[in-house]
Amino acid sequence: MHKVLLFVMFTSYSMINSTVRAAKLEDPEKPETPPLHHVIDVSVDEAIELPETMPLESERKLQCKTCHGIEEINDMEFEDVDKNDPEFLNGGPYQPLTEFCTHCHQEKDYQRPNIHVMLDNNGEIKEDSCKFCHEEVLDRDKSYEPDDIKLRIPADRLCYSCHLKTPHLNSMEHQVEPDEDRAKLMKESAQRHNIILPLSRDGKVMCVTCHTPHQPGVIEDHLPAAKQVSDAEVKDGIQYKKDNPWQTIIADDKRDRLQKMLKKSSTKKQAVRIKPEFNYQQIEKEVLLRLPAKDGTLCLACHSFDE
Amino acid sequence: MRRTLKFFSIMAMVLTAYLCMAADTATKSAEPEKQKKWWEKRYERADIKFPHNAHIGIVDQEGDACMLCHSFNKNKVTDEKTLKQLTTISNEPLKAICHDCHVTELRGPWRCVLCHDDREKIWPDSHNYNYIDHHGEDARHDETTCNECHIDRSYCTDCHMKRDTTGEDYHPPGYRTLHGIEARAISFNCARCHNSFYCINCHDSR
Repeated sequence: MHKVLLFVMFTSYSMINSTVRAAKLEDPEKPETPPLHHVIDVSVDEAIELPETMPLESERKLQCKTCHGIEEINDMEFEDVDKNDPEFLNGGPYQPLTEFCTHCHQEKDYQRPNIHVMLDNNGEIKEDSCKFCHEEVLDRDKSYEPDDIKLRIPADRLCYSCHLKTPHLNSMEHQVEPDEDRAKLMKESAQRHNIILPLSRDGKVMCVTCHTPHQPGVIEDHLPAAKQVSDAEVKDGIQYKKDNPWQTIIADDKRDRLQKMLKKSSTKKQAVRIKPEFNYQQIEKEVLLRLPAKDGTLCLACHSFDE
Repeated sequence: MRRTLKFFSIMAMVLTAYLCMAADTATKSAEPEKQKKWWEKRYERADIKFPHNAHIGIVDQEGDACMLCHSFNKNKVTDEKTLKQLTTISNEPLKAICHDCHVTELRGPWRCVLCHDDREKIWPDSHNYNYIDHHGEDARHDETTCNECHIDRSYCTDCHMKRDTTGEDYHPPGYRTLHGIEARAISFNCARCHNSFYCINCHDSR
């Protein structure tokens, strides 16, 4: 969580330097900002339209109250500021936090490259993509023991460098240690399908238990680590069918339940801003999965039922 | 002297052991009981039964998969408390999906008790108070509401169309001769099954 926040703050800092004319603090009495804080006392470009909840000073200058709604925040100690106060960020709270940044900054201008696209047009490996996760580029013609593959961060945390810990619903609930029966089933499934279902250092399910990070063709096809579903392009990601009759029914039902949750919730204001996608997404084409999810084969590699 | 020392050392050991046990018990009782996650509790739930294996064939045939009920939709919420609530919502069984096959189209077994272990958990509040005596008004007003659960019409006809009214379940033999006594004494009992036209048909015929 802290890393995400730091990343957001860092990104915001980078963003503002590129789109807002920076100005030196004219008044040495101006409040001191914490490390990695967005710059203040700069003029915001005319092209940027801010919402009414984010007032600017004269000469369109960005001040504390532009972003923060807490009274006299500039007189408070950094540690005393309640970051969970709904007034901490004007118009907030925000989920995700980057929604606040995009009041001024264009999200598309800051999107990172898809490093899972690892092959160029000639089928050659793009070494830069490898080095995002690996300490060194591996030789495709050699076979390696798992311990020989040096990752920059342990595999169970590596994905969080770019993705949220919970990029889809039910992801966190899966990151648990399988019990004895399930572990046995996973081993049998891996053998039956000739795939790998790797677990983390402490024996828990992790992102790469179900997902493979490598584009088809990067690892030699005969190796279990290479086997995956690949009827969609990596650059496009998983494709969903449109106009499934269940979409509206599920969306309506879940919306009602969400409203009931909001009525009970103590974080009502926060929840109002949540826009969960509760539609039924029927998979049409899939990629970067070790087995097909669209017919449940992937799920049944770990789950079994008595009846 | 040595015996006294031995006695005190044994007592000290016993006392230490007792204190350790007491401290351990206190620590254990102070620790809050670990709450089970929803997926750990799902096998304890008996209110809705969903036989997964029985559905694999039809789900495959329909082109749907596990994600029809277990959402893996994209998520941007990072607040753990809120996400937990959203996940619960995303995993709650969806009546419309189950009932589409089992109630609307009757493509699957439709007896409520196959999935719901206790009818009192799913019936409306109105059913809690002697509803058998008052259901007629609702049924006449909107029969379709009744049909949502009482799919089999025998639920109605078992009582309403029963013809062995001379049997002991209803009236004892010779009741036609004696019915006037009960009708005068407890007419409410007659009205449970008979409306006034039932009486008028005979008593007011000229």
